[in-house]
Amino acid sequence: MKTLIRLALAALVALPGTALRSESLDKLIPDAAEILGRMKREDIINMDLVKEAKGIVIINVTGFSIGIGGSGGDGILMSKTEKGWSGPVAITTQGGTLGIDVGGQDNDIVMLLMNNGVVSRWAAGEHFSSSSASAVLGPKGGAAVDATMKTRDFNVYIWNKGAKLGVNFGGFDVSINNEANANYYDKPLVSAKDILNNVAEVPESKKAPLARIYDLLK
Amino acid sequence: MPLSGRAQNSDSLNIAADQATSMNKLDDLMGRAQKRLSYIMTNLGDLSDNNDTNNNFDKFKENLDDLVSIRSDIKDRVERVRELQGQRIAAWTKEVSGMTDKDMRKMTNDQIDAAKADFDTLDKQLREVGGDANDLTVLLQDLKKYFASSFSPDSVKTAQPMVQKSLAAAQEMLKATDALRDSINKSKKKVKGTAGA
Repeated sequence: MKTLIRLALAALVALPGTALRSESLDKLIPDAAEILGRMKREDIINMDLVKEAKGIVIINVTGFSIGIGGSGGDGILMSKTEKGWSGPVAITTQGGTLGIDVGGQDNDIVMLLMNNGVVSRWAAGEHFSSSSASAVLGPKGGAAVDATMKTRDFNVYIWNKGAKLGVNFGGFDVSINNEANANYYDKPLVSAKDILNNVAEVPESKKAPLARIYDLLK
Repeated sequence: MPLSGRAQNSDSLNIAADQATSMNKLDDLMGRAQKRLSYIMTNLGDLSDNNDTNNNFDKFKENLDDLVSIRSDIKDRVERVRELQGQRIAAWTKEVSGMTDKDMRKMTNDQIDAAKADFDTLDKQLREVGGDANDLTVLLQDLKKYFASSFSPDSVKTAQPMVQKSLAAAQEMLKATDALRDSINKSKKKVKGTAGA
């Protein structure tokens, strides 16, 4: 009986992470377009800064009760290449705090990655400690962009049911959702690096739904 | 609710609040329709690739049924927004008739004219996108009927021109809907009296 209880508790603790990893890119792309579209419509995101960014992360992060699992999110990562924006890489984040103070909340987050080094760190699925990256709430739409904004690691935009939250960066882990990427690109061993460098191209049959995100990024 | 430069009393402002809420609901429904349309595009793309065709055809039918249902809700919601616009203008006009100050009357009448013009522009866009959405739905329903009568790798191949036409129209629809939601958002802020305040 004790073993059963332990197993049940272990399953509960593991639930957030495993549930998040089941999302396919076919579902994540419309979700990401919705997040980006809202931030653009509400003039939250600064499109001049988007032009300067080397990469972008669009995720929905859910906070779980403290003591159970911190927070977890899933979404997409894209990089800017000479040919324009790359295809999407499915990612998950776990642990720490990403704009979340208390459990049970939904946060839509867009991060502009301002240098290639940070894009590579996301692609490698690194752990981001609170002191390892300079993250600041990005300037709102229409605001003037200065050199500081262009050189910091992240410009972060957070939407929580209409409330704009401050950036609250604790340690969090990034994981590459290899299964979702393999299914989407129809290549079992496709890597995040290949996708972000346009070595692995978006299949013809997947291009139409993705075009909305490219349009929104213009 | 005190508003800078607005000469409205509580009747028209209460209706304005309802109208803004209704526009929020309309925006939400449009977001749901866009997601469903994206899923349909994925299903059509996978069908074209002969990828798990039976499963994708089933998903296509389900997603199309959902889209039709959401579109019906959108039509009802648009009617509600129009109805509230009419009520708001009527209440506002009635309020003007009770004003004794000539300058205040003129200023308010100008505001009413601006509100009417703004909504007319939005309504024109709503009708245009609605018309295109009708055409797209008919196209998708035709595809569904065609595949229901003959579903095989050959029939999927034969239907490619129609599939590609649907995908192109769906892509345009997503773009047009994003532009429309942008207009709804701007118009909603004006209705609430927050634009530029």
